[in-house]
Amino acid sequence: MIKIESITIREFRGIRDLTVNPTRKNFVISGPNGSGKSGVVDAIQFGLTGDISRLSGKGTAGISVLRHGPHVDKRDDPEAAEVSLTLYVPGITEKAVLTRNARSPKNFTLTPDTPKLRAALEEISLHPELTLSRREIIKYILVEAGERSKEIQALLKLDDVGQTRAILQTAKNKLSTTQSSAQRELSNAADALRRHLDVKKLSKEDILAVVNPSRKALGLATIEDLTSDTLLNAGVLESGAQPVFNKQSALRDLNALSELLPDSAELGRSQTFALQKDIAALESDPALLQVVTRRAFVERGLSLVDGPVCPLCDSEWDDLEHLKRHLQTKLAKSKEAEAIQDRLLTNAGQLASHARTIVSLLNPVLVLAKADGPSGFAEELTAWSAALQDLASHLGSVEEIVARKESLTSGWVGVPPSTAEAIATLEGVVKAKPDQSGTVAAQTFLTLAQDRLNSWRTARRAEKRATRDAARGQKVYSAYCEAMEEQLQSLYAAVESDFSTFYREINADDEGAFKAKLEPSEGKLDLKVAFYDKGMFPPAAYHSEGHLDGMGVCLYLALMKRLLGERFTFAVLDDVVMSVDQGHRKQFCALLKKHFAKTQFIITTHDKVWAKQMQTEHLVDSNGGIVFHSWSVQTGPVFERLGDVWHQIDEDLVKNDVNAAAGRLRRHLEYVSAELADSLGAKPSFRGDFSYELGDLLPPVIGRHGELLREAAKTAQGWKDKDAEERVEALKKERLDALDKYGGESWVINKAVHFNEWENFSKPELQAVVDAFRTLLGLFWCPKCESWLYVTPRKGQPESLRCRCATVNLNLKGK
Amino acid sequence: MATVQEQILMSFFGKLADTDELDEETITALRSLLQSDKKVKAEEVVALLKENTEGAE
Repeated sequence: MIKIESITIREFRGIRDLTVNPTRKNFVISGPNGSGKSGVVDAIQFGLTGDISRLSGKGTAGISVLRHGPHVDKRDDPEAAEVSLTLYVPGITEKAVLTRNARSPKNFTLTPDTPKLRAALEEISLHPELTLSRREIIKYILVEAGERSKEIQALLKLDDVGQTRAILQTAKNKLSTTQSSAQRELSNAADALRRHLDVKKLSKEDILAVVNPSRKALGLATIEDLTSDTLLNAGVLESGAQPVFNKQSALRDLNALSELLPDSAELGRSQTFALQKDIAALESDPALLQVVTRRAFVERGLSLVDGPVCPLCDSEWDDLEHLKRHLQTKLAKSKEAEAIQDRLLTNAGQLASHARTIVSLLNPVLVLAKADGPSGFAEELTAWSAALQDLASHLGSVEEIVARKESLTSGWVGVPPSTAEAIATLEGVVKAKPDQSGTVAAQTFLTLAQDRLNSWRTARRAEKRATRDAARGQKVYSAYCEAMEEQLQSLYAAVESDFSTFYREINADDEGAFKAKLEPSEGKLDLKVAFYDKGMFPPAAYHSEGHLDGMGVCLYLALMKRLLGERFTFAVLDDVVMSVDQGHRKQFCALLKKHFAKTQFIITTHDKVWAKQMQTEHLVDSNGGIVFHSWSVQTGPVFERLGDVWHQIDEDLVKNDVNAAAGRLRRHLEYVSAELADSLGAKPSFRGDFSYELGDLLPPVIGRHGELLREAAKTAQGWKDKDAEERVEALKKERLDALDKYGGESWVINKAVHFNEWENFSKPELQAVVDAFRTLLGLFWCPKCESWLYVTPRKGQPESLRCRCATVNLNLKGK
Repeated sequence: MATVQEQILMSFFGKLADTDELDEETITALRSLLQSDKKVKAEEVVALLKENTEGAE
């Protein structure tokens, strides 16, 4: 995986020309809605993958990176839209510059271009989830269990898992089908042998009981045991090329077919009825018929998709995701079709089985008909047998079944009209033949018995093989399912535990006992969460939207931890932290620092106070961010880099750009006054709409600072802590000097703070204001740890005024 | 860190090795098929699992 050192964006989305330098560290991009933040997110995603997820989900038909990636003024010049990323790959400690333009999103240049760097890039392209937007976190939380299962399985790259399972299941089913067919063949062969021997069951004793008298009649040795290579007709003279005829056996064969005829209309009736009904349903709805007949085709296509070109028709799509979604939609529509398909194949399979049984009865009669049947009967039987075999072998797919619909009626057996009469005639001919001599009867009986025993043995071997194959198929499939279930159970348990831990750490003050339960079941993933001590509920049942967002982020982080482990070195959190309420932001920062210290987060937010808090909480460095103020089509975003605000103001003034300097100072003061009011516990006049302005906040902040120093002085005296007294005195003196300077400029500061007349300043006036505020804000700032002062604890009576590194640390807790 | 699929396959082949129904040669062939980069077809698995020799009666 990678980290980003710098990003250069030209003419891409809403950005004309911008370079930002995250320097492999956490980086925050803040600004109001519509100021261009998402343009940076899009650029990162495009640079890394050649794709932009916002241009590929639902409701983005007709939108593409090629056409809509470039800045709107460059839409006819996609080559001008370029993103360049300087990447660092921690695993191999190498750097590279990756450049793409919108003309050919899938192509890129990499400098240097080495196999290891390419491999790192390929891995990134497999993980679009590294960019997380709010709409994505919601899909893990506020969705049906089936949808959640799909989303999480996609994130965890479980497609391969499901695909392998499906392949093994298909293999198992095919082997099982072969086994059923072999069982049917064995059953038919057994019937033929039983009929010839005229026995009820094929036990060794029963067979030998009818075979040995014939052998005795021929003066042949009795067979004592029936083994796999026993020849029932051992010693019998070969009959030559003539078919073997045994009168009694022939009569039984004729009788078997004859008995079938009266009931032939009933045979397979329920199957043909169901088949006709389903075929009629398909034909009355051409769209459904199309879906059913194409279903297998689409399934196959979906399994072969590995790029934006459709494997079924070679059409080129904007990207792989659009193509996949298109095919998945086709399949999703065909749930009803799937049920019909299953019924059609099952009923047709049973019908084919009946057909093969009839053929097995018909074939011995055909031999008799050829020798002694009435004229044309053998030809009729041949055609009948061929028709049934043809039908049985062409009922394996929906298309074949529908094509055969004319045959699949109650008369599907297709008994030739004169069959009963012809059989009766043939039977008469056979009966009229003189009884065979004992010798001939015994010879033909034994020879036919051996023929049918051979067929039965062959069928039994095939059946045993097919049974063993089917058992292997079943074993392989069930072993895979077991392994899958165990691994997924363990994975989900780990995710559940991490998710609960993360959420508890953020909400320790009010949900310290929070726990969650992920319950996987066939195609579903239920999520239940604790609501205080009231029980486990679906997330949206009682939790607020803010808490749900927090859950989404926590679940995402837990999943990524399991998915990538140490390789989770980079993620973009696109406005997903906006709903973390103020009271929990510190904990959120602490969570990322504690559990994901090696991960570089690029975080966007429209809340500028939140952005600054990430700095004061040291989630991002003091210069680890950029603030977008506004945006226009012509200029792109108007921005300011963090960390160098005074330097930038000085530069503005050197350039005589008083308006820019004034605007920068005002925005900085607005942020700092809000931050300090919060961290020091200042008490501005309450505003019901919470829209505090600079004039509402700054005076109470200054006043609160004085109060805290007085309190610290009093406490130090109470404890008789001379050192502390001296430290407080030094701070009080510093404050007096700063306020003198501030007060000296009060006439112009008032214009600014209370009357908002920033734009009317002259350069010297503004320079004086800048100097005064720089000195004033220095009272609240620790240059060593680069943090604002704060009181602790946040709630209740303050016990100390301090900075993060404790260079400033004044005791406020008296005796 | 192995992917979920890699972990599943590792456990899966471990389970197969403990059974008498598949010989080592078949398991090795199945392993090489399922761990290859190409798209696997069900027919290939069927061919692997089918007995090549005549079984005993």
